[in-house]
Amino acid sequence: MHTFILKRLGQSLIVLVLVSVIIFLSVRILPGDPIYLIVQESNVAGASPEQLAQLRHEHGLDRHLIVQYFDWIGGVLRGDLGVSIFGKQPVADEVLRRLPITLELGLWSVLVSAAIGIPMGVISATRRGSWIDNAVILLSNIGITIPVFWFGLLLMLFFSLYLGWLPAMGWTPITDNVGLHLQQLVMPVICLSIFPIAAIARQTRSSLMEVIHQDYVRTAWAKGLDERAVIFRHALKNGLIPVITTIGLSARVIVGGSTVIETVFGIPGMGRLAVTAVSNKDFAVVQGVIVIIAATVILVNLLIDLAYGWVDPRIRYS
Amino acid sequence: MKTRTTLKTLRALLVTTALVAAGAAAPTFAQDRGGVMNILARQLPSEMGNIKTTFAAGTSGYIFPVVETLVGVDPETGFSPTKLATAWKVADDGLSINFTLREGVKFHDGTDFNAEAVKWNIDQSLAKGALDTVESVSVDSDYSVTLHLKQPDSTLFKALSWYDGIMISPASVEGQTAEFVASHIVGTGPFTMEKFEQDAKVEYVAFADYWDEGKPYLDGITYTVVPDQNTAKTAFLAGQAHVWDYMDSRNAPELRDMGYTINITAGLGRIMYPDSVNADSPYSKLEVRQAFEHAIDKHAIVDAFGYGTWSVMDGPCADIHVGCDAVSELAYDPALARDLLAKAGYPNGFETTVYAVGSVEDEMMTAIQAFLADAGITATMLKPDPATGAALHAEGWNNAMYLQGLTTDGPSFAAALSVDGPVPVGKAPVTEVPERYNELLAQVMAATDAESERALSAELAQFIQDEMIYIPMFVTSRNAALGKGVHSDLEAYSVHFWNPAESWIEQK
Amino acid sequence: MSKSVLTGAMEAPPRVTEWQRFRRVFFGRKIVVFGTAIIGLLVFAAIFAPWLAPYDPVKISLTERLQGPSWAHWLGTDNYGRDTLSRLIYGARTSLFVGLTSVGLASVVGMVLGGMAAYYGGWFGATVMRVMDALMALPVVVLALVVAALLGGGLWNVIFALSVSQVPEYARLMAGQVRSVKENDYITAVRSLGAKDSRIMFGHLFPNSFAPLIVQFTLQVGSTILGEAILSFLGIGITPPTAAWGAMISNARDYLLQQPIMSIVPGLAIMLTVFAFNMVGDGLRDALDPRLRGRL
Repeated sequence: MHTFILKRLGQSLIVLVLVSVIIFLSVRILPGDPIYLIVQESNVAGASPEQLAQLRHEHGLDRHLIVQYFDWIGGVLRGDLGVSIFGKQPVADEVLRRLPITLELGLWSVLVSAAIGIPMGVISATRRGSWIDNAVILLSNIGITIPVFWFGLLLMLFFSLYLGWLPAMGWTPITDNVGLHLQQLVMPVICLSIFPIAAIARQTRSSLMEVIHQDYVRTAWAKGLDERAVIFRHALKNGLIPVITTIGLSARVIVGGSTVIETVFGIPGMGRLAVTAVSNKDFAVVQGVIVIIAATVILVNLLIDLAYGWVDPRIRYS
Repeated sequence: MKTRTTLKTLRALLVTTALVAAGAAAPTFAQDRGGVMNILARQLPSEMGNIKTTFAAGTSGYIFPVVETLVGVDPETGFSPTKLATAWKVADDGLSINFTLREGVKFHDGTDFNAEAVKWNIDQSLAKGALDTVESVSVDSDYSVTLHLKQPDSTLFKALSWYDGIMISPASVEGQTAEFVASHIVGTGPFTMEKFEQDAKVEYVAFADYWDEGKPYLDGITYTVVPDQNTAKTAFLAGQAHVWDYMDSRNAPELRDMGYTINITAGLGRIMYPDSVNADSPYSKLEVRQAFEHAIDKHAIVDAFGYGTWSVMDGPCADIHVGCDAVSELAYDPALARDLLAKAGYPNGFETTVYAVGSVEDEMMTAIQAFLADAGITATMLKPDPATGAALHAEGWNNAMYLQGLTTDGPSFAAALSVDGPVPVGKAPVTEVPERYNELLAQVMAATDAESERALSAELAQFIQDEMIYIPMFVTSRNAALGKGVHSDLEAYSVHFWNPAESWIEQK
Repeated sequence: MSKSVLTGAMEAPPRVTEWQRFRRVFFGRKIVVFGTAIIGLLVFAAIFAPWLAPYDPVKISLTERLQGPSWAHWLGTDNYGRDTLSRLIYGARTSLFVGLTSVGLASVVGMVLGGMAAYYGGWFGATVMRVMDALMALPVVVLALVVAALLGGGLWNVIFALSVSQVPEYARLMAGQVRSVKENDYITAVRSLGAKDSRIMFGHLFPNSFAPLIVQFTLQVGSTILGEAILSFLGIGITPPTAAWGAMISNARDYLLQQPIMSIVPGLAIMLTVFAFNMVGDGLRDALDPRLRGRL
């Protein structure tokens, strides 16, 4: 088990370093000279080539790419993600303020998706061919095809405007107002959960059906155990392994979805920070945000893999 | 000699308007106190700090709860001593202006507002190249400063009622770290900045030591960023905010019918700077520049997307600009546009790019593109990100148009051009500017009586149109919706008329 | 040849050909037939858009804005007075083009990279696969967002961004396939006969790994169309005035209350298309399942 953990940890680190190299290079190599952003923000009207060179020097942009990279990554390791070109504030502060918001959204979404998706899949698998099975199949197919931002707008119109039940947008810290905090969570979490619910329901259904046909389950049936016991004690326990993977993959989808959902619902999280930074070409923020997003996703995957190895010993040794 | 008398007239005019404004009656009803006014905004500046050295376009709407200008503006009467200067006196030769400062004013950090602070602020503007007609500033006493000018400048009061007139605490900049400076804005305004979250919100709370006693009425003002107009609308209608600022004009009629107060004021004039310098650019030919304006049905666009809040520009200037009644637009005439293009050697049209900087309505862009296509001009419409925009500003735009704003916040055409015109060099680096333009502009700026300013402005406008230095489009609008029971003069764009101290919310 | 001799010798029941089996499994499910029909319809609409669309999709008519459905405009007009039906038809062209091209590009690049990485192995293989892992660590939307925004919007940049974000999945899938096929006796036999590497890869490995990839390809077209819609919604996708469904939703959302049909129509079109590709993908998976090969 220890070697397994160490090996996976090592792999994750390598991947993280590669992400940092890739994102650093693509921000520098792709068109658009960041110096002009600095010029504009420094309010140097009609900067001369000498002034440009001076600014480049001040911001360390005239050094070799490799030097710049190590300078940056060294900072990252010390918890310094650089300074935003636009806000002139430390990127790490910005990330620290926004990361908990997106993490909370994501956590709720994972919980909601698992809480709804798994039972949906179980019911569907055990009532194969029934109307409820067909309904689940239809719903999960809609779930993976619906444009979530569009669905978010429809939800907002319905629940905020027509019914007036939920606030249309915004984010209130839980310490300020618990009720409002929870109300504001409802619609974004629904939107972020739609795809994972559908994916988890599909995965649960298919892996459960595979397990149901396996010998030990048939034996359990034959022994005359009642249906519920068979499903929960035997089938589900083993059938859940692929579902864990699906939940892990959902984490990626949820983080991706947060870009558009946070924009729609006006939530100041990491997703919206990514969108703003990317459209402003604030490369300092882009680099920092992407590395943090990647680290989060990699960490989730690592945990999932470890959980997986813990549930199914065969994995560790393969 | 003539100049001398006209300068006197100007001075008399300014003093009189000052007295009128000072004596103007305050609102006659009783204001309720308390409450935090929630305002939905489309965007916030990326930085809320020292606006003297860094300034992001579009900051204006959001900093006026915190800062005040030397010269106040009254929407009815013009410049007025209602802000940090209580009186001013222009010297007979027009080469110096003495300001008497308001006493007993404190900055939010507790330091005194005085002549030294004014000198420091003006010096900051001078250091970055603004206020270029000002030679120096001298401190006469604690509450008296004099600006010494290189030449008489009729646009100076405008500048001092605007960014360069904003007074911030020198102690909030001198000796502070760059990070502190970038995140602290310390003025004399009725509110202090409590909390700023980039791209999310800014919270202001009432300043207890505000010089105008009894104000502000509100406990605070909060701006929340909602980039999506649909979300903003739903939130506003659901009662989540008191004010919806920078609302799309399409919502104006609908919300007015629902009983909300809708404030509509003229926004920016939209003008396009061509690449007329490079010989290989089609726009180097006058006929092509004329064809461009003839190709676009400006009235149809204004009618369709302005919902009664936009207007077509009078040639190179807006209705509000002095002297512009003398010129009129080039009418929509697609056939003429095609003829002109053929005459210029482009019988089959050409391909081009239109860059639009700042917040530009997508609908306007798409409509312009469609009309150009009808005339044979295939245009790619691009909204460059800030870095690309800055690069265009520095390096120019080959075979392209650069769409930007022309300010409409005052009657002076020359003042508008001094901000958004093609010169000084570097503003529109690839737009051909004949020497005659600079001569005319200098004459207008030096004009001291209304009549000659009007005549010279008209001549300047006519010259810009004859040469098609830039292509004028239309004036868009800046709209705000106020929730029920909300009282604010937010409507008065030009933000320097927006008086957060006067705003209040009815308390039940 | 040896196969048929062998089966003949065993005197097994008459076997169905691959094509017969595929057809029966694939068309055996009504929902798959439905999906195929929808895709057929879309392809037809995309190819014959100029003849099918009643109006020019980019021609504005500011006097006919925001009209409801009528005989002249079956699905009404948008905020520029453009015919929604015509834009929907041309939008099929854009969506299919973006979907197929980016998935095509991603699959070719991914297959070649993944295939080579697995075939040659060593440090080369390891490096390629670690880079793929790194790209996989970023959510598809985030990766596409970064690439599209850095390049600027527009059709080809969107296609590029969407393909970059999908390359790793194909590379992984292909690498897995190649590894399993490589160990196969059949390839060892070919190699022992003196076949060159390139010949083995393109002549034997790729065709044998085709089935799971074609399934993945089909499923991916749907999610790529969704991805395009998200990019357009965030304002860095297909540039106006090109008719694209994502851009249509993005444009229509400001008129959601006033003119709901403007948003509903492209939203439904996207859902139906993604649904159709998913169904066909599922159908292909069943029909190409090697465990079912030779059986019914």
